[in-house]
Amino acid sequence: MRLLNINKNIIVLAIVLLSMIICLTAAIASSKEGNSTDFSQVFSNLMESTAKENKELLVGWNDYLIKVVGHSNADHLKVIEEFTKDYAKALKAIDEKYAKDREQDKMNYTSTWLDDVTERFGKEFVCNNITAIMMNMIIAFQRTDAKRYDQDANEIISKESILYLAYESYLNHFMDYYNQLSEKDRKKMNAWKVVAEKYLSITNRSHFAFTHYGRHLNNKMEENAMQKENNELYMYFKKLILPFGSGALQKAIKDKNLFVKKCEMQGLLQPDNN
Amino acid sequence: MEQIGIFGEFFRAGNEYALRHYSETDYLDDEVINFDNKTQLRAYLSNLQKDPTTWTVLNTVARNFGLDACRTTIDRCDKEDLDFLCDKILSEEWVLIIRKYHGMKSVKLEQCCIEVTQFINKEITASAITSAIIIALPFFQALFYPYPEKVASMASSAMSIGTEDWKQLAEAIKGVNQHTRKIISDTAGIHSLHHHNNRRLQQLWEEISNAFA
Repeated sequence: MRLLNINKNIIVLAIVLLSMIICLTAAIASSKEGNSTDFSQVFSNLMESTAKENKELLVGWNDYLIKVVGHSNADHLKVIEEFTKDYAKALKAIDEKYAKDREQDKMNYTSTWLDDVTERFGKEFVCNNITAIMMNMIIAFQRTDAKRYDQDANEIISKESILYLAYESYLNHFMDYYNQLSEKDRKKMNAWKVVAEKYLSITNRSHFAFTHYGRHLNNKMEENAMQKENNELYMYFKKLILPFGSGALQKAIKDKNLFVKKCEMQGLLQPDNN
Repeated sequence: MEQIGIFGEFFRAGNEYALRHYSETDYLDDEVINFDNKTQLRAYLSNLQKDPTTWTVLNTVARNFGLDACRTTIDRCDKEDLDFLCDKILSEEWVLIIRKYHGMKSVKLEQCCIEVTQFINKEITASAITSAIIIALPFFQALFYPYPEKVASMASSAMSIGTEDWKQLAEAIKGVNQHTRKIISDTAGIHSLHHHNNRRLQQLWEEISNAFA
């Protein structure tokens, strides 16, 4: 009898492990396609593996949802899948836009901005304020980028919020269902719990908002500092209309470095004054 | 593969050629190519020129001196420009160096660098969550996924970053989406400006910016 119990435990453990492997495989597969984490796929796989051994628990879960929300498990997963696709599509679109714009920026870039600022402020001034000038240039890049991407980013953030709220609603119902199960049944649904907790742990903040606006405070402070340091220079760059965005940043940095070399060679650069 | 570095260095066949001002400290004495006189220097430059692929070395050197006439090929440099270049090197105001190893030795991060590193870490984590990307490569883990105890020691310990590290980083970055790469590249680019008085840190952050671009 004891041997039989041990064997049962091993089987349960094996099922849990198998379910987790299936989930992980699904997540990796979705990453290769460049989609967001495919929640519906992960739960479909969990359902498939649970249905073989513990069909009654799945039926119970479905009945629970219908009783509490009025819609089935399949209804929930279908809508979440739609939200996921919508979000993944928006992510893919902004990524493609970035890649395209970056190539375009590299092609459109010219060094004339450095010539123009030199003509306007004089070489000695530029030599000794090159860091501030470069910072103003980056702020100009960011202004161009904001015009290009902020609206898309805000739309993605709203899609992400819709998706995460759907995750939360579905998973909180699951956790309520799980908590009312017997200890024996909880063990059978452990893989679900692990996955549910994993997803719930990511829904407490917008990850895309962090990615897009994570340095916004610092960037804004840099901008304020530049305005305070030299308003004339700041306004000059603020009025600049650039035919390129931050995709040209590397080329601009390279030009800045070459310019510094020239300043050094011509003896125009004061130590610790750039 | 030929590659021009962020300070106009030229890398070829594992060597790095560059010009450095005498006051800079990021080169060793044995990396400097010494010349006794202008004839010898001219002969050295001419010799480099004979190799059809190394004319770009000279071109890069010339460009560092702001010799616009040399923008396409050293052959187009007029005598006066070349003399100016030779005089600067012979007077030891500027030195021509050749380096067998391209990398950064003894880089010490400052607290602000650690904060930016942690931001990059969070960016990549957020990106991984949104796109289900799994990233695990040594240099990535070493620099951008530091363990808590390592973060504490990052400011005090010196790091060496070699060509192989950059290659691994470049490989790992392939898994990061364009949007996140752009944000990190910009952040690293901005941070490099904060270290305009520290050549190593400036170069490190510019290279990180380059790597994510």
